[in-house]
Amino acid sequence: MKIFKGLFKRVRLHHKPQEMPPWVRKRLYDNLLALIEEENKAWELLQISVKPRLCIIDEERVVMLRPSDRKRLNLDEQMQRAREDKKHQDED
Amino acid sequence: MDPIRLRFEVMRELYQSQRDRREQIRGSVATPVSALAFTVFNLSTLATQLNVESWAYPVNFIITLLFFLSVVLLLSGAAFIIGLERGVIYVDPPDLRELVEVEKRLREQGNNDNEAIADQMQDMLSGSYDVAYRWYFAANEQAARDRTQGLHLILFSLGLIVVAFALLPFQQ
Repeated sequence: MKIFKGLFKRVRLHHKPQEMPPWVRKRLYDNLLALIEEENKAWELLQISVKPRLCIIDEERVVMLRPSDRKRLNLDEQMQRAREDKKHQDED
Repeated sequence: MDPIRLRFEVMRELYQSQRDRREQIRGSVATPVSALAFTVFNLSTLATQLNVESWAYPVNFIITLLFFLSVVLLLSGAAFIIGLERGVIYVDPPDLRELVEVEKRLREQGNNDNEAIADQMQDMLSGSYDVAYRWYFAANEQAARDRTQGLHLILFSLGLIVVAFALLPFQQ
């Protein structure tokens, strides 16, 4: 019955990343860290006082991570893991 | 036109063109899907003609081999087509809340000239469009490549079925 509920469920507004299973959050956060790097590069290039911050969207899961949601992610275990993985990748 | 406006217009245009391209790629998936359906139909016809019992006879063995190879190629092609839409993460320019926040931050920095604030915000949006454009570009290129590879595998599978059909009159 749970499968059928999931199939016919309709979303009115996007989900928050915190509502997603760990592997979806990890995928989102990996992309977010890559995005932050790109944002920093654009900021340095344009030399403006405000940094461009974009929304990140997972179409499949109907999740949107807005710039204002980023602060809350620091305590997320998956975010910490994504940061560690990124750090190791950069070192290699 | 001033350079700030020019940067903004160019980047927005590029971002919009990549968004439109994504829709075009999605629409063009119909071709490999039709080829897939046609190949499945031909495979089922070949399956009814296949004589697996005397598979040791060379021609029967080749037809059986071609049959299984085409099934593998067809499934691989289908995997590429399915993968085209799965697990893609996109980025979009800042939402309204972020724009309001940015304006607030600029005013807090002691900037009260509306023109100067608009210029800073427009440059910030140009940067956002540039990041989003490159992000979409990479995703679109990957999707277009997956679609083409999927189509090639399906057509190759169909080619093997044609060879198998040509050998059918010689099977035991």
